[in-house]
Amino acid sequence: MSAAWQYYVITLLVFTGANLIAGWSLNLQFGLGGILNFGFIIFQGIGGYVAAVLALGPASASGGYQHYILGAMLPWPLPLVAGAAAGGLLALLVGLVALRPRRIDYQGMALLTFALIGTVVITDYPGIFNGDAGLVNIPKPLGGALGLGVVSYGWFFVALAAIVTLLAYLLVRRLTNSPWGRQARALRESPRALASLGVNVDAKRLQVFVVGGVFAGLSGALLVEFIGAWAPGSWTTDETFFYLVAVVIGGSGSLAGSTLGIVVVWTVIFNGVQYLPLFSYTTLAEAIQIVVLGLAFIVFIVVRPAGLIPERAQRFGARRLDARSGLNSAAEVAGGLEQ
Amino acid sequence: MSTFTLALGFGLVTSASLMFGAAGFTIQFGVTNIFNLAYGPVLTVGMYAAYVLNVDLGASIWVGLAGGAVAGALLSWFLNQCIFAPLVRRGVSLWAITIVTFSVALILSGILLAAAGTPTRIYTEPAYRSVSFLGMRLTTQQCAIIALSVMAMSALHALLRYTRLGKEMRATAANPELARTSGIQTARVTSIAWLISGLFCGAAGVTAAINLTAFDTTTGSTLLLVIVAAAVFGGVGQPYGAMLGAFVIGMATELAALVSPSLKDVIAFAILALMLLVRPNGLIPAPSGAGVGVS
Repeated sequence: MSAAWQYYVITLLVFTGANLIAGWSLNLQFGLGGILNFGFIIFQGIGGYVAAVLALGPASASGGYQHYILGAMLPWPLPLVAGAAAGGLLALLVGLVALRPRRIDYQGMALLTFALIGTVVITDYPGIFNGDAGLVNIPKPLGGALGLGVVSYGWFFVALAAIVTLLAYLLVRRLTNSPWGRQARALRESPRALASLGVNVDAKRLQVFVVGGVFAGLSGALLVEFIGAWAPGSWTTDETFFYLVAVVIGGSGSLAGSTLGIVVVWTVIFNGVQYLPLFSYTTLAEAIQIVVLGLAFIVFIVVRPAGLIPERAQRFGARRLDARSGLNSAAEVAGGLEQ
Repeated sequence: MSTFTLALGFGLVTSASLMFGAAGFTIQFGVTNIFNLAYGPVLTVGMYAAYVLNVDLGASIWVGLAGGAVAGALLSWFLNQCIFAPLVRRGVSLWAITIVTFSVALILSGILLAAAGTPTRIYTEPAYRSVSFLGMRLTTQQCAIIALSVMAMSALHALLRYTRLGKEMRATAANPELARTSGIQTARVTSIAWLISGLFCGAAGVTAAINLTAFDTTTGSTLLLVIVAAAVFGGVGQPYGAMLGAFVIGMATELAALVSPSLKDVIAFAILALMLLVRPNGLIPAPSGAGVGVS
């Protein structure tokens, strides 16, 4: 393989890893918890920014060509961890306000407006993260210490991204299958039933939202460390919907489903169209991507609303709950209570 | 004539334009309960329809405004007829339809981008003549926008309050099943709601474009968020709440611009965030089950 092709594959692999983490995050919030997070991308955005400034070093040392806050030069993987924490912290702050309305679509709207505030604030106040121009020349993890060529370093980064992605997967799977995950599902299916079991529904929703925010921040941090640059154009609201579309097409609520959805939507449709030599006119390529994804979503909602790999009916603890009643999921208990 | 009173004048114009948008958004939401994110590109389509009439065909900007409103109405009606209504009939859940409306928004903006490209557009308007009163100085165009908006809001009020159709819309909003069993053709009422919503949407787009002086394919989507902020502020589905929300947010953005121009964009959302903290379900919360609340 030529170096250009190798680099293409490297880019595709790293992006797939980061997008998988983002997809799992959205699957936690939306697929399990039923939170319509239309502002998803700002949590990825903040993760990227924080990871960037903590690797760049103090702003004054940069020669004044970019301005930002919090500058420090921390050893890897601290910027990555801080990026994830920043995603969680922002989710906490935003969630406290935006998750207050009763209806989930109101919450979605509030989150969408917060996403716009984010873009406006970062663009209008260049002192925070260098405004519209964004941050550049972000050092690569262990880049100096290894002294590898561009392509060999790329493969090293693929390994790094694979480890991070795998760890994220194990954690998300653990969460999804735990009692915590089952409660998150009940949050989606019937908050009233969950409340009747003595769970504080608002606190639970906020928890799910913050955990999702942590993974969103992690995905942003991983992306920024690979790309080496980050600007408001790297986290547009359109991307939130590509993630949502990917999660729904794959199978909302199903971990395997969201994994497949991300691979199909991002790696195949998104990059597939983007890198077709036919569409060197980028505006047109962008327009075509958008139309293809939009149509794909509508077709899926009609033909296969549960997605490619639907969420499995939950069967757990049947013996302990009550075998005779045949109730075998929190959702069914919830359904029973509602009738 | 202080800068303060000047800003008040601009606030009135911005509010007037926003009122079209917020009222249109909320009327459709009240009747159908669908959060229509495709409203943004419909705003933009209105702007371009007016541009074609005004610049390409040489008509006056007011003919363009009418054309933009009609284009918005037709597109909105068409989208409901071909996409949203069939999905509702199939029993697709409302959150899924919300994402579908976004997909439609993406498709429309993709088509707009492919058809119109990225250049910014400006309407051909007659030379400005300014009118001063109460320390405000407005152009005749801006005065006309305010007058049109007041007329449209009064017409909407009369429609909801005094006509049979208005009563049917309110009934459908309050309880679709009951409305149907009482002999109201809810499908017809719903499609009329989409039509009216689109009409207001197109007008909102064109007036906003006149007010902003220039627009491109993304202007509508940005504007949508301010409109949503106004609608959420007032309690979504509440026409009078939306008008009030539009007024408050329109005024606040222009007055904030006095302090610092970069505050202008942030203030609308700061107000919304504050509102969500204090009254999470809007100034005039919809009764459970929502609906167009006109009592």
